[in-house]
Amino acid sequence: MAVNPVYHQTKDKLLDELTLITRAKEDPERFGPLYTKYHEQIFRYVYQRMDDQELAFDVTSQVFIKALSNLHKYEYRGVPFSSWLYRIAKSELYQAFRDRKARKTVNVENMHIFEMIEEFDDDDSVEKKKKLLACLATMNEKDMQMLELRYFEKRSFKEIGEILEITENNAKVRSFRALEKLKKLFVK
Amino acid sequence: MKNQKILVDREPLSKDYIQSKENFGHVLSQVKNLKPPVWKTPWFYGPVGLAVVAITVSAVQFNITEHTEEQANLEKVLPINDRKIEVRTLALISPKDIEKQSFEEVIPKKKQEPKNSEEIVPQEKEEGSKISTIESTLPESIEQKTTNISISSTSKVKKKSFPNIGGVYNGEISINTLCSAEGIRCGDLKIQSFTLQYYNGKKEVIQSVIGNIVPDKACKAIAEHNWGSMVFITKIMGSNLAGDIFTLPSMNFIPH
Repeated sequence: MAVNPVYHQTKDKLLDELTLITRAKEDPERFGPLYTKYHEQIFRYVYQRMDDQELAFDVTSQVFIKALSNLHKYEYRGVPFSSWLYRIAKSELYQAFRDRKARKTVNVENMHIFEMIEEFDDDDSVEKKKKLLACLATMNEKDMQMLELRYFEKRSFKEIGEILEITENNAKVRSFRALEKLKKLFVK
Repeated sequence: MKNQKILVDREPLSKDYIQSKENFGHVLSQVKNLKPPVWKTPWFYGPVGLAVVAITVSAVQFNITEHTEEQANLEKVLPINDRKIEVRTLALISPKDIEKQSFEEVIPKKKQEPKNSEEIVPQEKEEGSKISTIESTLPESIEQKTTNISISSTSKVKKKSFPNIGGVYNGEISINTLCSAEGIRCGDLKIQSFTLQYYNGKKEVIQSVIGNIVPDKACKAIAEHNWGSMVFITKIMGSNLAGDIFTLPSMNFIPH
């Protein structure tokens, strides 16, 4: 299941969003519509990476508090406002892992696991699933992030690029390399 | 990756449940209650700014005080008249004193003064000669400075005639005169040594010369590379018939 069904927007919608942001910069109470629009997306992004539900809601609140208090620094770059929120969320997540001793979690659906195994090997037995999970656990943080964003959350390369502040092409290359690394570990 | 938990097929949360947890009022109140960081408040800049100014002022003040103390120490050692003399007049140092490089005040015997000498500050008269040593309590840098300076008693300094080359003491001089066999002269004093500073086309050369004649090699370099630029003749040491060593004033020439 894609985590963010409302990520892609037309140019008109982006401009409408910019109007909302401009108003919110003048009056913080007008930030409400943006909060409502993005709360679920950001919560799902955060909760996807941690086990504790309450803590995930707490971190999500922190993301919006940070966003609202730093809204004057926001600059429109032709991408959805959510890409800025994702970057704040990423930083808040790291802070939560560090300060609140929260444990980093990778949430995977069975379907995604079998999709991967099929790509690597014809045999999709339970043994292979265990092996793949073991291999995932050994991946480094950057590669795991790419796998999460691309293969477990099913985000587009464009969106990954905007979240990670890299080009769409770079996002493609990185996710492909991450998958190749996993494949090597798995086939070994 | 260490400390990472992998969950498979965790039960997804419903959209309604997540929406029920939305609380924009809480976010808004939190933002309103946010205090700016300490370093962004005027309370931070006030005391910190003052402290920086105070530290700067005291550092500058400390440097000035130190400098003034150095000056005062120097003045104790060198009376004003002597410091004027240091530039223009002869100083009288015995050969022993030069070897030791000690810090001594030398008063020459009246009878040893050359006849041609020109008297500039005859304030006191004293018979016989007297050598008194001043105990040096100054820092090394000051001591070094004073060692190089010729010190004489305020009362007993007699000015000899200026050293010169072919009658030229300072300023423009022809190469021929500068390099003449006559060399440096100074009344009836015999020039023992001097230091020559010139540019040899690559770097500034400082050469100690025994005798009173500018060496040929230096002459060539001066003729080639110092045309119109300054040549310095310093630390000119002369002696009289009695064997007393004199430090003579420096000369600066512009060869043409």
